[in-house]
Amino acid sequence: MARPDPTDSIADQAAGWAVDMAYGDMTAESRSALDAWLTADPRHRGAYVRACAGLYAMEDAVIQAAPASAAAAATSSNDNEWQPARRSFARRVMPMAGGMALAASLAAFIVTGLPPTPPAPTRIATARILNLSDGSVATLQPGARIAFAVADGTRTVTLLSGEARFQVAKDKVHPFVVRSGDVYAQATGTVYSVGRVGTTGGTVRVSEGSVLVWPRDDRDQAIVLRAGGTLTLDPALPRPKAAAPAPAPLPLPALAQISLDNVPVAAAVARFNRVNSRRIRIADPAIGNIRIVGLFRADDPEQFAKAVAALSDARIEYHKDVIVIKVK
Amino acid sequence: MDDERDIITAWIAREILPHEHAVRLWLARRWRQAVDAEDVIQEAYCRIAGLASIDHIDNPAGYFHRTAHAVATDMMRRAGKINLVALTQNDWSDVIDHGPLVDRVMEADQELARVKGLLATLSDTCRRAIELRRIEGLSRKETAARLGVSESDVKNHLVRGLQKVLKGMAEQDADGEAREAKGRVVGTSRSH
Repeated sequence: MARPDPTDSIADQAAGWAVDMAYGDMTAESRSALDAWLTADPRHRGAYVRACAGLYAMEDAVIQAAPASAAAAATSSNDNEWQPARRSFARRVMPMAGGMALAASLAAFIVTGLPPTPPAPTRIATARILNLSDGSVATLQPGARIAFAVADGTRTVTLLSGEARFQVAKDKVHPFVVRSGDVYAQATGTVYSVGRVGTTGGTVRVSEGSVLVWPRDDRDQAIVLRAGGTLTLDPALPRPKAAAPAPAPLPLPALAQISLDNVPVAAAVARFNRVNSRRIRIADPAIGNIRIVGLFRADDPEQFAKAVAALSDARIEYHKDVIVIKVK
Repeated sequence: MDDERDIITAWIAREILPHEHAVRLWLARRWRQAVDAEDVIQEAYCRIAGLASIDHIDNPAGYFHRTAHAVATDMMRRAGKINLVALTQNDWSDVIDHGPLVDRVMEADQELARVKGLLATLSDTCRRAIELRRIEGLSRKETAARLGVSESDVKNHLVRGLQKVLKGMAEQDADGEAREAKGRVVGTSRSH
C-alpha cells in the first residue's frame, strides 16, 4: 500500500498513516515504517495522535448518523460469515512502540457509542455466588443479602446485611459502588469485600486494586484504600477509625465540586465551611432545615449562599469573611 | 493498558479535538508570531496522548489551553527567547474557566457544532466505507467490492476526508483574529 507522500504537510501525512493503520492491512513492515516516520521528526507523533483522534471523530459521527436499520441489519443478518457488528472495533491494530498504541477498541466504543444501560430492576438475592448483570461477581457470606441496580451510569450494590466480596468487572465509565448503610465504597476494576457494621456503618477490605470509601454526603472527603487495606466507618460514631495502611487523602480535583442530593442546608453549610476560609452562617435555623439539591463549586461559598437564599426566599449579608443568610 | 490508550484516543476525539480551533485562536492572540501554532498544537497532542490517565481532568478545554501554553513557553525557552507576553491574571481566568457550567456547556456545544459541520462534509464513499467497515464489519476487499471501487480508492477517500477535517479544524476563519495578530512580532532574542 502506498505510503503517505513525504511532500505533503505533516498533518496530511499523519492522516495517511492514521487511515493506513486503521483500515490498511497491518503488516510488520507497515508498522515499522510508521515507527520510522514517527521518530523521524518530533512533530510527527503529535500529528499522528491528532489524526487518530480526527479519524475517531469521523467514525463516531458516521456511526451515530447511521440509520438504525443498517445497524440492525448488521446484527440480525448472519447468513454469511461477516463478523458481528462492532467487533471490529476491538480489532483495530496497535501500531506503535513505546506504549503509544492509539487505536480505538471496544472499551472506547462503550465510552462513545452505547447509551447508558437502562435502570435494571432491583433484585434481592440470597444465593452464595452471584453473577451480576454487568459481569461482576459477588460472593456472599452466610446471611448476606444484596440488591444490585444500574442507574444513571452507576452500578450500585446495596448491602442489606452481612458481608460480601466483589470482583468488579472493569468498566471505567460506570463506577461500581457498594453501599453499606451510610458508607459507600467505589471501585472501577478491583476485588474487595464490604461488611455491615451496625445500622449505618461498614467495613471495607481491599484485596486487589484500590477503592474509594466515604460516608454519606462526604464524597469529597473520600479515602483511598489500597490492596491489603481495611477501613471501618460508622457515620453514627463521631470519627472514622482507620486501620491498616495510612489512608491517603484524595487528590485535589475531587474537592472541586460539592454535590448535594437532598441534604439539609445546615449540613451543606458545614461542608462548605470545612473547606473555605470564607464562612457561611445561617441566621435562622428554619433555613438550615430546608433540603437542597445541586452541584456547586467547593471554593465558591457565595454561589452556594445565593442558591440557598433563592431557595428559602432569604437575603444575604456580607461581613468580613462571613456570609450571613437571613430571613427577609 | 491498551484499553487505557484507546480510552484516551476516544477522549481526545470527543473532548480535546473540538477545542482545537479555540486553542489556535487563543495561541494566535497570546503568542502572536512568536511560536508556530502548528508546532504547539502537535506537541500539545503528543503530551496529552502521553497521559497515563484522564480521570483527573474535569475541564478538558482548560487542560488543553494550559498544555498548549506550557508547550509554547517551553518552545520559547528552548529557542532562547524571552517571553514578553506574560499572562495577566485576566488571561488566566479566561483559561481556567470559572464560568458556570451552563456557559461551559454552551461553548462546548458551539465547538461541537463546528466539528459536526466539518464531519457533515464527508463524501458519501467515505461515509459508506466507514459504515461497511465499522458497522457491518466487512473486510477491505468486501468494502471495496460493495462500493465498486478499488481498495486504494477506498483508502484515498478516507485519507482525503480525514485531511479535510483536520484542515478545517486548523482554519482560523472565525473572526480574523489571527490575521489581525500578524506582523506583530513579540519575543526577542537573548543575544542582544
